[in-house]
Amino acid sequence: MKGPSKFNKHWLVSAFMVLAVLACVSSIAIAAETAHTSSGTAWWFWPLCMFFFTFTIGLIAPVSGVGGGVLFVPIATAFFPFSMDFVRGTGLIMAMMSAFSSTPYLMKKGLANLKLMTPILIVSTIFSIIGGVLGLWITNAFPLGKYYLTIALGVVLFIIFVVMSKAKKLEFPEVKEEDVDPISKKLDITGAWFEPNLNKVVHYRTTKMPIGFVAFALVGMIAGMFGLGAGWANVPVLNMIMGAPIKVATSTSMAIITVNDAAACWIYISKGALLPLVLIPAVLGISIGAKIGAKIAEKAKPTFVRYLVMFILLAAGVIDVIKGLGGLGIIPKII
Amino acid sequence: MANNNDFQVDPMGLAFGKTMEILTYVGLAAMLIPGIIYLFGVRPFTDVHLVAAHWGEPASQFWEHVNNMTVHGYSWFLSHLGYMDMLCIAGVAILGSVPLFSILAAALKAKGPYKGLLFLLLLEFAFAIVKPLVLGGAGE
Repeated sequence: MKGPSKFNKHWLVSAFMVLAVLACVSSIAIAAETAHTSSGTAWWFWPLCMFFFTFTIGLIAPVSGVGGGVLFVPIATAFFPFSMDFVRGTGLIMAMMSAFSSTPYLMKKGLANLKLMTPILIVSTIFSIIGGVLGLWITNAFPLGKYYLTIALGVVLFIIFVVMSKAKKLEFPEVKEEDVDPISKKLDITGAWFEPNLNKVVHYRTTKMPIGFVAFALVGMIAGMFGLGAGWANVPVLNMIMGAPIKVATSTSMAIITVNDAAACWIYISKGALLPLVLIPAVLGISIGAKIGAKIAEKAKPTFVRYLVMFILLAAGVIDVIKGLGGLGIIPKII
Repeated sequence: MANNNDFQVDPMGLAFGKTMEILTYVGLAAMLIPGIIYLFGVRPFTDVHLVAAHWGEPASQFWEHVNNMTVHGYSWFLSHLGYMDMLCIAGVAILGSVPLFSILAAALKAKGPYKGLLFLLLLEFAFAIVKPLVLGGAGE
């Protein structure tokens, strides 16, 4: 009896996600069509589309460990009539809300690890501040630098995608006690969670903290320098370099995003880049979606999580390359 | 005897998560209640129709065109808290402070090196709040 029940749940969740994606895509398509055929849409039309769109992103974000901004900003910029400033401001708050909504649950389940995220956050935040100061100088001296870097990031994402598709044991990497570096040992970075797919508690430890520091310093520096947002980089570093199981990596990434995005939101507030008319439907959508998404994240099969992360990395990579080439004027600017 | 299926969730993580959960509800209410009231046209600082007419403009131009004001820092919404849309932005500011209190709650439960590390993180986050006033919009 256990088999069919699990089977039904799996299909119910999958059907629900597919329906949500279809609803979102159709609402955006209808919205885009209407915008082309009529210039006089009611003021509530686009905010309503925004709700369905962010609800779908909320379902996906906690399962994949990305804040949602990586999907939201390019799609919203392409289909919605809001200025880039308001899209980015809303995208950030939305990503923050999806992380706020799912992190408490993931912490309670032992999937998100505070011991792992604390040292990493200290390093990435310091370098993000240094990057911010350097960014002021670089933006003035080298205005097209942002686009070259965006293309480079896209290429890096593609390389990570290829490495992830070939790598083995990413779901449950094996870290032997003798392989643990002195910093991770001193900080006792270990954890455990109940894995429903295996019906047992999985104990894990992480390693290579010094390399993790360098990777997160780079990520923080780039994010701070160019305001690119780099939630996507957390998962591969935690999983492939530091040996955290894929579900721990995605969950801890969400916890990291709570702090990173909340810190960044003050810049958008100070610039007035937030409009309640856009923000309210987006936050309602993402909050409801992420609550459901966090429950899906707990039950999701690690292999499914791995493929979802890979898909998002690939999509983000392609978007970055298109954005960079568009910024340099090599192709028409579509994002 | 403890078996392999026994595990305890880290108390620091639990404190972090619990504080985040409670304050997120507080911040959400502070943002959503005035925000939804605003959508019904009650006490707006900027009328919804006017917003819809200008939401395609960059933020600085938008505020200049609809309210004839220059936005910098936090006084633009803090000095208009009698209006629902500005109260909504204050709700966002409350949400933006959630990790500050969550890190503090975790630090109070922390032992050993994590006490110092979490207080360091707390200081970094506090700096992020004042950073836009000190360094402008860099480093988003």
